[in-house]
Amino acid sequence: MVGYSYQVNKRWGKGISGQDFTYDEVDYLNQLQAISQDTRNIYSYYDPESELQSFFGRVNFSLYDKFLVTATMRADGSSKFGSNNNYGYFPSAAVAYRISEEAFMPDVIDDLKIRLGWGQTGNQEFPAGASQAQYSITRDGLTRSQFDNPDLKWETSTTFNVGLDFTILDSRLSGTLEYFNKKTKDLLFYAEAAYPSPSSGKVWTNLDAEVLNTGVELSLNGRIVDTKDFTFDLSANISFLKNELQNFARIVETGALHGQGVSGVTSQRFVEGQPLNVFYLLVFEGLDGEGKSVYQEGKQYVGDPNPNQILGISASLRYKNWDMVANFNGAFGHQVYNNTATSILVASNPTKGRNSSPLYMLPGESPDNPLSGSTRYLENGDFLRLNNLTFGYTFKKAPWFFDNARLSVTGQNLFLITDYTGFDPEVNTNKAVDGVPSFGIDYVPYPNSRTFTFGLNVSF
Amino acid sequence: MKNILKFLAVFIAITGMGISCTNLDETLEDRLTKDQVTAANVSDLLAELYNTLGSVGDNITFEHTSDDIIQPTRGGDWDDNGAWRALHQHKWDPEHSTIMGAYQMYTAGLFAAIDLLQYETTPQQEAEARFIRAMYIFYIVDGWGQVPMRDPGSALSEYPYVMNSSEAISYVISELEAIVNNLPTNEDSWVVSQAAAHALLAKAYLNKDVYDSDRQSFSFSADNMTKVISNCDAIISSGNYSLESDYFKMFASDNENSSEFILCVHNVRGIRSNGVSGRYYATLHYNQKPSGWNGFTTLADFYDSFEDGDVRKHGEVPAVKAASGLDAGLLYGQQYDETGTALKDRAGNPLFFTKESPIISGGATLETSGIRIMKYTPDYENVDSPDNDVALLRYADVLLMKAEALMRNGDNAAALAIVNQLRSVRNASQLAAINEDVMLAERGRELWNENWRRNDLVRFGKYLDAWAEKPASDPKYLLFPFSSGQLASNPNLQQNPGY
Repeated sequence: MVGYSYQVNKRWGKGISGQDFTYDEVDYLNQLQAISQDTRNIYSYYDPESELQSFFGRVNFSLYDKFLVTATMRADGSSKFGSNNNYGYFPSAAVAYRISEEAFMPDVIDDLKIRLGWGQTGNQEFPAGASQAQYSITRDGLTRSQFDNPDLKWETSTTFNVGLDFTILDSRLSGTLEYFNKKTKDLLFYAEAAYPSPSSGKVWTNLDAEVLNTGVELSLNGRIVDTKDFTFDLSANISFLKNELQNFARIVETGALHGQGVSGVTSQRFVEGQPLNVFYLLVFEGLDGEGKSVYQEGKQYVGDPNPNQILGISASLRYKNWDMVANFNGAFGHQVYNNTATSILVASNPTKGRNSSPLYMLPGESPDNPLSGSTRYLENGDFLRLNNLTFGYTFKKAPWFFDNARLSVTGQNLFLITDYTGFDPEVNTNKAVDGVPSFGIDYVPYPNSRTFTFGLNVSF
Repeated sequence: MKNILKFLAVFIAITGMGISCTNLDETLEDRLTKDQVTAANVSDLLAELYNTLGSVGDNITFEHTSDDIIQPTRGGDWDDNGAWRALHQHKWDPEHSTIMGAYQMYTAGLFAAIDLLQYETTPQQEAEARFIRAMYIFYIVDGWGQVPMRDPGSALSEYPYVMNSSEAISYVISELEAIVNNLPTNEDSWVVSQAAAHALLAKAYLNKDVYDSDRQSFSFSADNMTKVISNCDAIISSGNYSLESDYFKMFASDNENSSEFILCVHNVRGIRSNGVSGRYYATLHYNQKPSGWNGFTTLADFYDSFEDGDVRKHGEVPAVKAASGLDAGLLYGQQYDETGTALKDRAGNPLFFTKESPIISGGATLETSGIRIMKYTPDYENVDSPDNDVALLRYADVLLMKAEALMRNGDNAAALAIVNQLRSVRNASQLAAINEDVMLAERGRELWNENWRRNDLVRFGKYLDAWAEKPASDPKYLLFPFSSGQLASNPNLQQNPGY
């Protein structure tokens, strides 16, 4: 199989606004000359177009039905990169050995397969124009707004994985155990340029650093009861994940906290040898005699917003015409920073005629206690959620002129087990600094809703 | 294996053909790339280069690390994880955002000048750009002791080379001396003039011995001080500048072309104000007009260094007083609105600014501690985008630099005469004698909150001393550090000692 794809992205806009129009009878856009000059505002922009064209191909073949081989190759060309490096070449290969085809395997094993895979993928997520020198046109003149970086090239991730798939006991139990190791290099990063540089101080560049993601995933699917009237399936998967930033020669701050008293305070870092977005905060030790916070000297690496384990459980039951499906998901071993508590529900609120919450006021806390980003507001983000629960009834013989009919009720986000004090630990308010993403910060988010859906499905 | 080879052969063949589908050229639609900029655009580049100076006028790093400003934490406000305390108490680390921001700002201005100079210019355009480049180098060497440099037209991939303190100040001097005669003599004060070059040369010679040393032990060479004097004399004898009789008019919204401004940032009401409104917002209480952020204050010791009657301590701008009841200068005591009604703080206490300004405020004076600094007064015609121009180089500073150089060359009588001449215009009593301490204090009274205090304290050897709410500091704090991001992106740059 071979293929070709082409894609072009354009983004442009123009706008005009004004105030104090005199005549509502006439379209405002037709009387712009009559409004006061101070209120007129115009803008226009046209981002560089970006083109992406790809050539790809794949071959599959098998040997004696035991060895399955897949090989792919892609050549991706993007106009966004420097002229020296438009194209990236990304091969992959996978082999599987179906051991169950061997004569020596016992019959109880329906299927057993070992998989080995290796592959590369490319990333080009950055704004078009980043590889060129840019001069912005301003009201007063012209200013160099960006360095050129003709060496900008594809970020490449190399993944190695080894897995074991099995199906046993007349297909009653199946599962997968997989290890993966993904190393990303030539990281595309909006990094500090070597000053002197244009006033953004930043340039899109390939960092000489690596992100290593490793993990083990285990999933099991079992048909526990299987009779004519009653079936019960249970499946569960769990992933153990770890990520680390390596050979990163700089420190990049992100996770800007929001609110009075925490201006310019950041809570997270990208730093060598730590997980991505590691929390870097003052360590809160309690209150002193005056009711003011005491901290250890200096900020410390105190938490990780990336879960160590991700869990999914799905159960489905069918009894005659009745059925039920429940899905749980959960994540464990990570922290969430509660910026809402830092800045909104503070001890000085009662003195300013505002409410606070006993959750976030310590006994004896002074209303003058300075606000700081600290571990006081860093909370355990573990949770288990009943994401989805459905009951249904399917008519064996649909009434009237319907061929099929089914009644169902579904509840989403029905309950959440967590120690997190904010609305929901599954939160990620964007607190990026200069385009460097943040992760796992809660600042006055819109809470997840709980939804009930009643359904009637019929077909004629 | 044969299949794979066949596959690869077909694949490569198709890829080779396919490249002609699109050649992936990229055009910038709403901005220019380097090839499109020509000599005809230099005046536009120069206009934006001048605009970069607006951020210099608004910079707070050199004041907050000095003894004339302090930012107290007030309950839930202004803690910012101790960022302000770190500045005042000299406890910053290399990732301090204010210091990183200042370094980025100065080097961005430097870049704008370097970038312009790769194009063909007129002699005056070249001289203006080289002046501004020298000025940025001066600020950077003053703060950081090393100056990363690029040549005009250099590529990002070339690491900037680094001038050490001594090389940088010599370069500033040689540049200014090379271009001074190509600058205009009598222009608007926001255009670089020969007087501006002489004023910056005086600054450079005055500080040269400091920058040539480890900034702890230095002595002032007679030759350098003579150069300070001759450059100041070039300005004085031009007759284009004179002391303002009304000190605070010089910083009010109608201060355009003040007779003391040798170089200023030109702000235009409603169009371009370069953050000068922050000067008053930052210090005013919430219940004043305009409603401020209740931040920056001065220290009691600094306030007490003025005698009563000195117009630089306390004054009035009639339009400001009429609009809001605000005085100009250092605001101490009860505050009033425009009707003469005594103001209160948010808790209902009298809005009485106290002399003491503890670095962590609390109790009854939580909101009212500290004398406020009202040098650039509000422009009530547009408080958010005011018309006040901001002084970068000022005639009174030239006089004081000359006096200091005379004093360092042993001519105390001539130095005293100049200082007393200034003091009489400022309605301050005549001094009987002059010495280093008196000279430093006079510079403080004249130039408070004009971004020179740190430079002065270092040159007078007082920067590491203890002062209110600050213990004596380690010598490493004589220079600011470089962030890890800068060290990582430029291997030619070495971290300053001790960080």
